[in-house]
Amino acid sequence: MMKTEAKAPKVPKMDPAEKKEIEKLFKAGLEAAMKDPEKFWDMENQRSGASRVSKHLATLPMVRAKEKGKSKGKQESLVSELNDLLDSVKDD
Amino acid sequence: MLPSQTEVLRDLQKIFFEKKSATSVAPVIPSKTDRKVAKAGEVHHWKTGDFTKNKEGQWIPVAAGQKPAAKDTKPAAGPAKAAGGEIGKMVAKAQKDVAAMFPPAPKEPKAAAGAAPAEPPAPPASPAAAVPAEKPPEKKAKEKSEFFKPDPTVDENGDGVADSARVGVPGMEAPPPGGVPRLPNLNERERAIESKFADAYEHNADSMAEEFLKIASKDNYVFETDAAKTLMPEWERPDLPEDGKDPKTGFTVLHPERAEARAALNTALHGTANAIAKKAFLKRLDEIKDMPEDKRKILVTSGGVAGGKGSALKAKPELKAGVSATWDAAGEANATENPWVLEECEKRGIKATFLFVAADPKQTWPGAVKRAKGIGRMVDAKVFADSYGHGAKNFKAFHDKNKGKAAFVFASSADGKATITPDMDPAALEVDADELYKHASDYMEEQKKDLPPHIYAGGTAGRRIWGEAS
Repeated sequence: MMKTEAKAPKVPKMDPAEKKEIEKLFKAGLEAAMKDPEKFWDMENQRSGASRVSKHLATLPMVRAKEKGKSKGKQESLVSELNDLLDSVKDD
Repeated sequence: MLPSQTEVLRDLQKIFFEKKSATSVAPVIPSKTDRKVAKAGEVHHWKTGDFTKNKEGQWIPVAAGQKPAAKDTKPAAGPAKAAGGEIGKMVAKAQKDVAAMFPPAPKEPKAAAGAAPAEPPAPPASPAAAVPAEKPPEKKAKEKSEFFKPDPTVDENGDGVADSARVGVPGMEAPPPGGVPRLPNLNERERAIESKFADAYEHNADSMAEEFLKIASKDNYVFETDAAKTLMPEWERPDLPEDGKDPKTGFTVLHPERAEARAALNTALHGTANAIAKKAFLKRLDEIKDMPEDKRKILVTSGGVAGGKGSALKAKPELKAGVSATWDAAGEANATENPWVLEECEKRGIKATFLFVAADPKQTWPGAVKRAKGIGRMVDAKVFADSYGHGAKNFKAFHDKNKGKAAFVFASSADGKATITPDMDPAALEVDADELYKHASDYMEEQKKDLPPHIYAGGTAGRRIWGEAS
């Protein structure tokens, strides 16, 4: 059973002045966002970073988009590998 | 006299050259990469269940109890064909011959001609399962065999708010318990990405939620589903050079491959990202519960996609600084999470203020498309339309039922001017989701020639996933 279910504290009441302050700030924020949307969209780019990648995913092979024009099949790859191998033993 | 190693290799090469145009290799034992070349009818055993590919190239779950298709990739019991058909037989024979010629062989021959593969096939599921797991995910075969295709207007629990949006996890849930819902009709890349992220989370839910909690803590504990996508390397692309800056505007110029990934993968990653954000948010609520009364308060935002709620928070950091956490809901959730947020807050004695922004979707859709050019992330037209067509109605119903239990703030940017309104803007309740989807979809066609292909693809993926606009 969750701890929180056992002893739920009382929900504090909303102070009207506090609500007014939120309304004032939110209106101002919305005005700024409407005036210069690109500025605030760009903030989303600021949160990027390698350090954010999960440790559970960082070492796994990446799923990549198929490269256009590259349709080398497994068979061709094997033939190519065999050719390389053959070249390498020719000198022996 | 034994042939030399060179001669054996030459023979192998000859076998390949002679046969490569005659017979295509159809691997019986799938590897992790076999998803890319899977044929219709093959059954793949993913972590999340068994899936088969139909003629249209879509992955369809194999219902519990259904017999695997003829091309099941599991090894057949008893004598079976060698992997790779005729070529496979020849290669296996050659391997056997080579092994005999060069004793002692360091490796045991894997398969002699005519013998069944010794090892079971590697599941094409995401390699996330290889990561040490916290505990096995709770799986229910029946549930897992069905894709998530909710009607975004259905309200089974009768609270006035629809139970689920098309993307994300159901409003009242924060899995685990339960798994991350999987979307229908994804293409192979999207499915691979969705599975990788969801499998990793289902095996490491607590740890990944902790990781995201740490990220959110650096931004005054703002919890945003889209931000959780940064846990995924395919989204972040740490292998690529850093983004550039436009010298004129100073804005970021995303690396093209990073931009492509964010537009193409946004929908597929949304469910898991939402689950992570919700789980991390609960962890924060548990921390807030033990704080003094004046700190036990949070903000919650709702509104349509690209309606300005997230930007307003960024423009006025005092908003998030004045509370102990902010649930900055994705517009795509259609305000279905609010009853869950309120319930979790009530359990912990936390005061919640719910903000709603009404906007004109015919103005914000071009904005969402333009935004994608800057940040990469592109929202599909269908979920965009739902966010306006259903989101406002859900929020209104939630407000009407709970106005005595929490504080509510209504804002509007619909007339090109930011205003605080005493109640929901009536125009927001008039938006028809189907009509708006048609409008947004038509806009994508009008703009197609001027849009980067990945933005067009991201904005129209819903046609394949949920159907065309009518």
